[in-house]
Amino acid sequence: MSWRDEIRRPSFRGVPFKIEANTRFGGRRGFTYEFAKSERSLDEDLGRRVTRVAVSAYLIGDDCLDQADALEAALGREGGGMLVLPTMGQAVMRCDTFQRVETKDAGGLVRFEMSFVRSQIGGSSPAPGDNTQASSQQSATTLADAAELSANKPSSWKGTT
Amino acid sequence: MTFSQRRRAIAALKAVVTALQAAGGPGTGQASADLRRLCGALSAEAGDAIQAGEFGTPLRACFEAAVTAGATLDGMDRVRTVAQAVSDDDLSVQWIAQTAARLALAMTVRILATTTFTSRQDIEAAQVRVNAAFASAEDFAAGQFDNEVWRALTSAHAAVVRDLTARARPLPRIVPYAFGTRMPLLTLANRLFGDAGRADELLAENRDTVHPLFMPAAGRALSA
Repeated sequence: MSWRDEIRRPSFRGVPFKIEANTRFGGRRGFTYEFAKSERSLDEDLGRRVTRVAVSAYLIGDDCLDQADALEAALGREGGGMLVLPTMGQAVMRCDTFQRVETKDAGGLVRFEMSFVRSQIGGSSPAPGDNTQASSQQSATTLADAAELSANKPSSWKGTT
Repeated sequence: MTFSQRRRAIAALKAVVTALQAAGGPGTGQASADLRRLCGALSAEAGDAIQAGEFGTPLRACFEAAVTAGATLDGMDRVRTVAQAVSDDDLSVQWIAQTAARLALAMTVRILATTTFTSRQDIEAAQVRVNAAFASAEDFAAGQFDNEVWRALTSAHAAVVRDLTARARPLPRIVPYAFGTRMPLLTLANRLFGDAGRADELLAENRDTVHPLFMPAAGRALSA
């Protein structure tokens, strides 16, 4: 399977764009100790660095402004969104910064310089909580039904407690 | 059913219906009128309805009407207390009392689900009341081997506790405050919250205020 079969259409939060270059940054955080007058040094590993992605994208065509507005809106929405890159997979990322560049001599072309950071908030917004009030209402109705049903069965109410 | 059982059952039903009518309040709207009509009809035909074993449906209609007419948690609690205060060990009398108590619990759950709480203490107080209210009804249903009602009771109990706990979490607590001197209400609100617009809230928490210009030097306020 050639790498061409792996290519996917890039998009963020479902809004498509075209890609000129994309870069992923990773690594590990750490602290390096260098001791005065010593031949030794010490390196301390402080865990994995958060994944960042920088994307140089562009939108082209007669409706490039509409496409660019849609992308800008998607980038500005709260929370993380699904970022799909052509060959570097997909992940839930939050747009850290973006620059929308339109130049005079490249009409009909909108460039986006975007940087993303990996977001732990899955999806786009915090998960909606259960509607406990509705389920409480529901169970109240069930209880009233059961009480009514039981009241309509005189045979089970004979004798003493 | 003997005459004596019937007489005691009618008394229990009438007591419940009277409490229910009081719980609905002396409202003037259509909902209150409906409540009074339903309660009156059931009260008038209490004997026949009990003898025929057909009081369940009209009694439930009365309870639903009371909630629509704006019955409060306190009012519904009083109805439940009246129903549970029937200490007759004859099952045909408990039939009315327990049905009323179960319906009152269902309506309590419904009222709690629509109540908006402002502080965690309010919710905790409601939770304590609900727990106490459910306990004896659950015991009775379990003792009677009434599986369906027992299950409905426990699941309603669980649902309301879960709802109250979930809604208590984001609410502020009520905490005491104390200053060296008495302050006017607006100054106090500004001092505590940085927002004099929340003065009314502060007044609602401190019922013993004599005059809003001289708020008690020590009182209670929401923590956020």
